[in-house]
Amino acid sequence: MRLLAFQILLLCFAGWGVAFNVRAVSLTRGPDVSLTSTNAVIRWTTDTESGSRVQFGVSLGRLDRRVQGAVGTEHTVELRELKPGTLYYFTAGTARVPLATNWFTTPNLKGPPDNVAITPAVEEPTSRPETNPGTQARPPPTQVTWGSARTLQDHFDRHGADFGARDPDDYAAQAWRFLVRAKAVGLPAKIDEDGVLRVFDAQSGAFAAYNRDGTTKTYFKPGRRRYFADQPGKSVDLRKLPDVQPPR
Amino acid sequence: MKSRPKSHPCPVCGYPDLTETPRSHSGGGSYEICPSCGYQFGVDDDDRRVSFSEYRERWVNGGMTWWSRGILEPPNWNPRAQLATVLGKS
Repeated sequence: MRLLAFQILLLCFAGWGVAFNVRAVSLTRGPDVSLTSTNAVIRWTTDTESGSRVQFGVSLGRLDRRVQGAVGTEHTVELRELKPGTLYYFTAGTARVPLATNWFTTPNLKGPPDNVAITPAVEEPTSRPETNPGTQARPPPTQVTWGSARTLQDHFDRHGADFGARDPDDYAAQAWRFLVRAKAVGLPAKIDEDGVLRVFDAQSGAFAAYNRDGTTKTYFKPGRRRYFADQPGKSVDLRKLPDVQPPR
Repeated sequence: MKSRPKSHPCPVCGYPDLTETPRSHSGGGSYEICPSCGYQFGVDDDDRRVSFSEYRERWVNGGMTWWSRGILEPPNWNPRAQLATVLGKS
């Protein structure tokens, strides 16, 4: 009798899932950023009602501050007590899923006057499935994302063709987007004793290594199937790891 | 006074100014590309399975030309003298 009741309960849940077909939230506009020297207001819209959360920090690998906003389709979140003249990275999205990753730089106190510095929309208005975050994100400048600027040309010369990169900046941008996507969808990753993060996407065959601060060391497609498996480091779940940098 | 960052020799061609040791103590390659010979540590060895000596032989047979387009060849660069520092050790 109990078994029958349990089966009926299961059927009810299955029916509910089919009937309501739970829908993923997609970004429809933004995020747009309005800045002063010490505050940032981030606005975006979604196609369905969802919560609002911004995680931010001074390193892409360390988004250690969080601000939440109201539930709705029009989202506004204010970040306070920022440092002037500082580059911040952030994700904007629901409480569970980051829908966009981007960055802004607060104006210097001696720079443009407060309350007039408004960054352009950091994303084109778009409806982007949350299953593929990072692919459209606008990357920070290459000198911010690439570990050693003097080496970029050589890495591009060797590996740019793996990704159809147009030029070194495009190659560096793709490597940055790969990390953004890896963190959003939880691609296989390892961190070694030196804090080097290695990420692999079996589907595309792309591999990247990042320094402790999140800057890129290299990005390429290995030819050997077990390449990533043979690399050193401890496996980490990038989605559950708010800080990809190991303790210093 | 700011000290010069420590440099490391390339075990393939003897270039003296790699910015990282080719293989860290964790066992991973540095992924640095030697601007002199073009060997990438952690890629040419771990992925393409080309040993230092094989690569060196190819580089020597290819005329020991400066590989990098992004890093300029040092003034008075002498690949033979550089190579001798490696061969003298092996």
